[in-house]
Amino acid sequence: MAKRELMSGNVAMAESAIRAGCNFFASYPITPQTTLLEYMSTRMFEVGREFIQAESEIGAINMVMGAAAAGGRAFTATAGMAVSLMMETLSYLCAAKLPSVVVNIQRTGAGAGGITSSQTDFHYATKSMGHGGLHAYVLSPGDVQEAADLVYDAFAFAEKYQCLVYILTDAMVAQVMEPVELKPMLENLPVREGSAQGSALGGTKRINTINRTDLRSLEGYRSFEAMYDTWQREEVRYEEYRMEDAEIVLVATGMSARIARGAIDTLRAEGVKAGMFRPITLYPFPTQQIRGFAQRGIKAVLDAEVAVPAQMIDDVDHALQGSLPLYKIDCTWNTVFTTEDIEKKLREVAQEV
Amino acid sequence: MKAVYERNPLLMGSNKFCPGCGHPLLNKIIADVLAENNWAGDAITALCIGCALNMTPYVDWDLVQCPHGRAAAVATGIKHVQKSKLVFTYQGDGDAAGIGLTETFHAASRGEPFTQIMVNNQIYGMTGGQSSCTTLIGQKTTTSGPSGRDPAHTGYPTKLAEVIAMVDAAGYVARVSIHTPKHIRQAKKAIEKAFRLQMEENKYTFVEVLAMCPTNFHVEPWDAPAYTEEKVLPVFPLGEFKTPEGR
Repeated sequence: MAKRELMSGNVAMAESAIRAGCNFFASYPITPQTTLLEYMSTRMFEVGREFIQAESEIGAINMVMGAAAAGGRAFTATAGMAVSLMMETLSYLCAAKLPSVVVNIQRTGAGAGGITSSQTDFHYATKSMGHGGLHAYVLSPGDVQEAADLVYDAFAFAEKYQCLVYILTDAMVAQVMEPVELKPMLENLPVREGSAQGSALGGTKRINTINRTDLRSLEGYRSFEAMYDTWQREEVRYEEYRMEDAEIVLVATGMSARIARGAIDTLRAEGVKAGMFRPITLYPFPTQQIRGFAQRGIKAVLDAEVAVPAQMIDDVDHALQGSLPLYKIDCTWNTVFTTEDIEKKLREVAQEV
Repeated sequence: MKAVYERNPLLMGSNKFCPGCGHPLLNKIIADVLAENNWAGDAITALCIGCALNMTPYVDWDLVQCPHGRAAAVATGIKHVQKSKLVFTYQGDGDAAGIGLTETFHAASRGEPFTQIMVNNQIYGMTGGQSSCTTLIGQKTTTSGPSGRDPAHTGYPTKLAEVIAMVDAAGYVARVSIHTPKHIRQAKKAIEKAFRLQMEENKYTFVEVLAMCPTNFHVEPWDAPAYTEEKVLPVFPLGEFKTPEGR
């Protein structure tokens, strides 16, 4: 069994990316991502991989695009408002089917926002990757171990589907330190076929060019749609916590799920049949699983998230289609809810149903 | 019978550029440099948004279509993964000097070992002739107003080669033109030199190419060389602005 080490989410994600074969990392400093960038700045050189501190997030994500186009296993990490700077190229990465991995460590609010942890990029990450309506495979880790595992698996997933994998985490998961067991270092990975490595006269590779009618056509976009349907059938991931006989189910991800887990235990001790459903894939969202709640004897659903106005609740509402009463507890900025706040809300819901 | 001249196999079929456009001529110059130096199998181009992307169906070497202005950042990523390959951007003035100046400047500042080719035709051609940062004083465009570019409103033409030549890590910086046979030969030499310094000495190299756009200069194709000589060269002087010592 591998050694368990105490590390932050940022460092665990960085080291996991390296172990998964990441050979190109470009990024720009922004709180709360900076310790990930700092770790990569020394570790990538130790293992003989490529590291660049870019002139901007626009530069960083376009370097990722170039590296991915040339067959590299490319990775970047950023936070909050800087994702806005990357959005155009995130759309390009999806459209050109370039395998790549992006981490967004959410921070609070619009505009300059703040540096406290939040979940305000849910819609931004799940509804359309920039302009054009294509999607990344969007994952939300619940703790440091899962953050490490999701980043590790992201590289193989990106290659399998030739897609962008987008880890949507938050400052709490990224900065807290927990014991982690890392997966092994992958060595001697092949260079991806179809990448631009210099291959003129017959073998020429044209990445994302205007004559790529296999992608830039109705048929191309139908193929994207079919891939998303496949994800919805085969690649949805979630955790159920004390859901066996639950009557009241809290739906939460990331930092909200961390805060809420203790509240479920408290309500159970009080005799209330509470459980938690934690989506791990945010796109594809576990729509069918939530739609099945009413058939499982569940009587009410509570959405908990650090976003005002709440965002994920729209997808929960869409999944439920009015089949169950839906409540919410939300917060933002300096007023993150406590475990006790969630316990109180769960008791209120329990009295109403 | 011995062939004295053959079509370069790196150029396939016809192209969609306007009559008298500088792009297909420059495409041919690059194709010839690649073929003559046996570099075609190593070439990867980071291609801009603009008229230049019309070259994609008919040049036969690896191309990566980049977001507008970002070719220097994309080329940085390509070169770091494919270190032994000949990586060069192919960008217009709006792409490399306008929207993409930051990426251009910092790639040069880091001394990334690839070549940037900026095709300067003083206009946004693909969208139909709007002002660029390189538009000449008095030049009429669809966005300049009826009296043409006025320095009181939009300042003066951006001279990127001179700017990049001031960057410490830049290994070779030149501005060339392709409006006469003599200038075509000089341009070819400069591009070959830029590629060679990249491949053999890991230098960042930059070549600005003055190109004709008769459609948006509002001149006949056969008058465009004289237009270049009389109006463009006085603003954009030709030459090598930075070379490795003694070369």
